[in-house]
Amino acid sequence: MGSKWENYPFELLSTISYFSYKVDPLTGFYTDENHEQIKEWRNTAMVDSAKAKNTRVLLTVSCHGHDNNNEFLDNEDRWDVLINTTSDLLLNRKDSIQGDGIDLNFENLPYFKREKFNRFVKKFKRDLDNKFEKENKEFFLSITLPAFNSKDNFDVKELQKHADLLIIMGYDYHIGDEAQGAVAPLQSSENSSLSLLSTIQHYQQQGIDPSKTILALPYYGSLWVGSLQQSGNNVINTSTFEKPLTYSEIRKKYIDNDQLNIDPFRDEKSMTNYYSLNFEDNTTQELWFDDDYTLRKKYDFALSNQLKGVGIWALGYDNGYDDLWNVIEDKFSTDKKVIVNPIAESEGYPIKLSKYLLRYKSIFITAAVFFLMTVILAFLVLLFDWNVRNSIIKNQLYFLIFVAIVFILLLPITTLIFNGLNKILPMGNVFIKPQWIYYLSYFIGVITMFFAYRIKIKPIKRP
Amino acid sequence: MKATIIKELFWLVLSSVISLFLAFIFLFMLDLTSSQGSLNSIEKTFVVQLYLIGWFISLISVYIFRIITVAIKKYI
Repeated sequence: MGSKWENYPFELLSTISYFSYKVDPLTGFYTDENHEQIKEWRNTAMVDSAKAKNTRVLLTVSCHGHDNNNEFLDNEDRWDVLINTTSDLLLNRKDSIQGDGIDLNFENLPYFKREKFNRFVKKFKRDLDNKFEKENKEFFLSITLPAFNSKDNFDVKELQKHADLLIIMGYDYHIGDEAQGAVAPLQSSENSSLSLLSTIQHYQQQGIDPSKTILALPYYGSLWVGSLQQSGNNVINTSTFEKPLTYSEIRKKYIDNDQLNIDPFRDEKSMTNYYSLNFEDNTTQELWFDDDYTLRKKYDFALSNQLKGVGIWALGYDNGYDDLWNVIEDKFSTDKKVIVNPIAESEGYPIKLSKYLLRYKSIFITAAVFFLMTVILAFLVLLFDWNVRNSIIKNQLYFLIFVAIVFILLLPITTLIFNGLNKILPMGNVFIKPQWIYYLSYFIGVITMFFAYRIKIKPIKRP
Repeated sequence: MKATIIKELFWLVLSSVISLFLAFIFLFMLDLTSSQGSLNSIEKTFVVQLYLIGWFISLISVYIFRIITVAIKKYI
């Protein structure tokens, strides 16, 4: 963690969790490699700074891996060791500023340990509640839930009876051995059925309490590196997952890189940005990441599903940049914001209609030009009728309407004529610039009005 | 009444026939280009669909023409 926390705007954070107490599954104590982190937890001024801004401070207890969880949950004595150690770490820090609770981060929980995990959480909460009560404090327990892998192994209905907060880890969807794709796709793509939407729907079906649930989202992206290889007549891009990149790294190496000078694409379905880069030496890079715009939409998605809020994995990944914090301030510092579900928005009629119009715009424009030409032709044909001509000349109102119609039709007529000339003439588009057409049409219109009022035509006698 | 129906039927047939030609102008205005030298089967199907759309738009255009001319003549 170092000193990065000094830049955190704690006033925008309701809860922060120190990562982490790594459980030794054979003892319940923290692992040997974890000593330095635990030492830092005991001493860090971060806890004091956070609590000064009324930010709740938790300690994450992490136990990852199928075998580790199996091992730890099978022995209840180890639960007691964990409970005693963590309560000591929360209540007896060096600066006497106490932690507020624990975040349980058990990943790859085996299905057959579902019930044991329920019992462990129940006991953990009860025992720590008792220990905190003696200090006249309230113990806070949060539990992290997986986005997809082993999500059925968590009995959310039972767990939420004991937990104060449930955190859905809405990231790592496409990373490592997975196919290229968004770290946190809003909706699933053709290649995958996994998405934030499917995760939230799953937990809703399980009966999760949304008022106790937050959706954690990534402050990092995923980078795939590969090369272009010739295979017969086709060029194949073979790429593999390289590494995750923090938002700060992405800003420095890609977005703000003047040498690259390419804007990322935005995949509307997954609501994630991506770069697809081919270099001269036939190497390729594909980078998927979230920025302030896509995260804003995903925050809207969480809030429109009545969730309590959002989480960030991980704080400090955006070090040096304020844009992501600005979104949080904008979205969560007031309850007067109108939240629109980005999925409903993208599937709503205004967007659908706009997409449809944009998709077939050439057909619609051509049809509109066709109808306009019909109107012009109808007016021209009418002018051959002496009765119509006579009425226009005799009646001042008809005359004004006629001149106004000519004036209105001048712009499209001039545009059509000059577009036609631009195609025909060898000088091409040099002949006239598009904006000149407007000036020219206006000028012709003014001249027409001027002469129309000056010219006196004798009324035509009926033949 | 009978005369009106016959007249309108005549106009419908005449408009349909005129639209068959006008639909080519519609296709010309769309300025379709193929990625290859000649149209592939999907593009051919697409062009036929566009021709039918062009025919329908042309039919509407003929009726717009009629409405404008008749309305103005009557009003004036």
